[in-house]
Amino acid sequence: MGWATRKGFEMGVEKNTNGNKPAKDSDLFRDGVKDFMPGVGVDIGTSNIVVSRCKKDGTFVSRHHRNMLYPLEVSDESSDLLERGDYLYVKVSDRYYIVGEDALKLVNAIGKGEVIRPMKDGIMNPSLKESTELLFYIIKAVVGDPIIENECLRFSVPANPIDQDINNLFHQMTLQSCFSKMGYSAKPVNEAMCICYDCNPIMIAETDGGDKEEVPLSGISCSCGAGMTNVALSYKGMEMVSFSITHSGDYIDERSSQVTGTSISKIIRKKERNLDLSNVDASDRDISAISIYYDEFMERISHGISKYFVDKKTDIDGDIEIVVAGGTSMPSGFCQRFDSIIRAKQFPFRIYRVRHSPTPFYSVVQGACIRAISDQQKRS
Amino acid sequence: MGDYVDNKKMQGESSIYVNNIDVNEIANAVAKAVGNMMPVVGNYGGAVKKDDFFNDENSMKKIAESMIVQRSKNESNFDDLGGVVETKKDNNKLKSTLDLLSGLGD
Repeated sequence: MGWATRKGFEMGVEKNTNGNKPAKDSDLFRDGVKDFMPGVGVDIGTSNIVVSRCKKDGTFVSRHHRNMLYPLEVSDESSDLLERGDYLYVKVSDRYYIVGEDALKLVNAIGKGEVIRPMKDGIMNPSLKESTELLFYIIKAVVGDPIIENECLRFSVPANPIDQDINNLFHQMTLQSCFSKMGYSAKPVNEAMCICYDCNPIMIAETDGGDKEEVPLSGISCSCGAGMTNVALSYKGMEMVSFSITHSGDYIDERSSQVTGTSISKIIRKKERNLDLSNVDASDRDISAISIYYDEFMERISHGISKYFVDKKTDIDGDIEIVVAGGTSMPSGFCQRFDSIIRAKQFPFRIYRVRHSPTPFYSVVQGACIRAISDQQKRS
Repeated sequence: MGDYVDNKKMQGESSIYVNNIDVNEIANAVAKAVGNMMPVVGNYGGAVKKDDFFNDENSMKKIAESMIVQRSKNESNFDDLGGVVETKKDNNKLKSTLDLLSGLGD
């Protein structure tokens, strides 16, 4: 499975103890039970499913899976193709579903059709019943069994968006039921707050004596996902406000595809392999389009965050750090560009700095894992 | 689907292995995961068309068998789903975050 070996997903990893190669161990979580602290984090994203456990020495072990399927009618040709192509697939009814990374590989190889996404705008896609059933199976396979009875699990959920009438309650309750059936003691956790737990934003506050002090787990956390961008303001680890803004990474892909005529799958591949926002290759039409829509995205998100806090007249006695993570934030140069755009907006508080997570792709799941470990420790 | 290569009886329970994957275990996993979802009418298991409502053990077993993944050399590899990456965090920082979270509610 290719994620870890590809350029786009090598960026920002603090330390990769297996050289960014997928572990050969087929049931890593189960075999390494004694090394792990109980408590598991799961990030069910629009684009990816990621699960993480933490070893006692602070090493996070994360398994990830591209949350997409490519349907093929059953025929002699398709059967032959799948056998020869070494693709990962499941067969349901009269269709093959090529799952995960292989779905993207195959749609690019065939050059027609598009992948099916079991999730849309951060929640389960209600119009795709069969895909949703498959999503459960994928979750079961990626997450695995609890390592202790009734093990604590936290799964990330988006906040309700400020720009669309979407309610995530059904999504949240369905996932909670799924994890409970798998034997976990499962609770939801806000996606942006996961980034807070993982990255520890700080607020610089002035003490009574006039000195400066750092207040931990206090600041703004932004999770730039595929379906939504989630934002939370925290103070000492407490969620003060949270909201989300729709039209995130998928929107960039769709719009870029529309204006260039290039398929979305190819746009995704280029975005992940070739895009450098600090050095855009203007001769490449696809890259130029993606860069333009990244600018539009960052402008819109910055405006949304600014407007939210200005409208609410949020009063904070200190300088606030903004931490950014999520798959859509992964291209080189993202954070520098976002920093300059967001600093040009008006806020009712001072921004101390904008910081990119050292592990942007894994921050949400690692934060969920930290929260689950905390739940487990409280229980004992 | 691959050939049945083993059929064990352990503690009164039968386990059917296809390409080293325990079909019963997958059937149970699917049953747990799917729960009481809406019934689906489908064509499973090849040329014979049959309405199936996925509401009993046999149906679950059938869908589990149909979901076993095959790759080259007939290996089943659902266990291999997804890549695995390790990232190291400063253990002291992690402990201090956990300390702060210990005082928080849900």
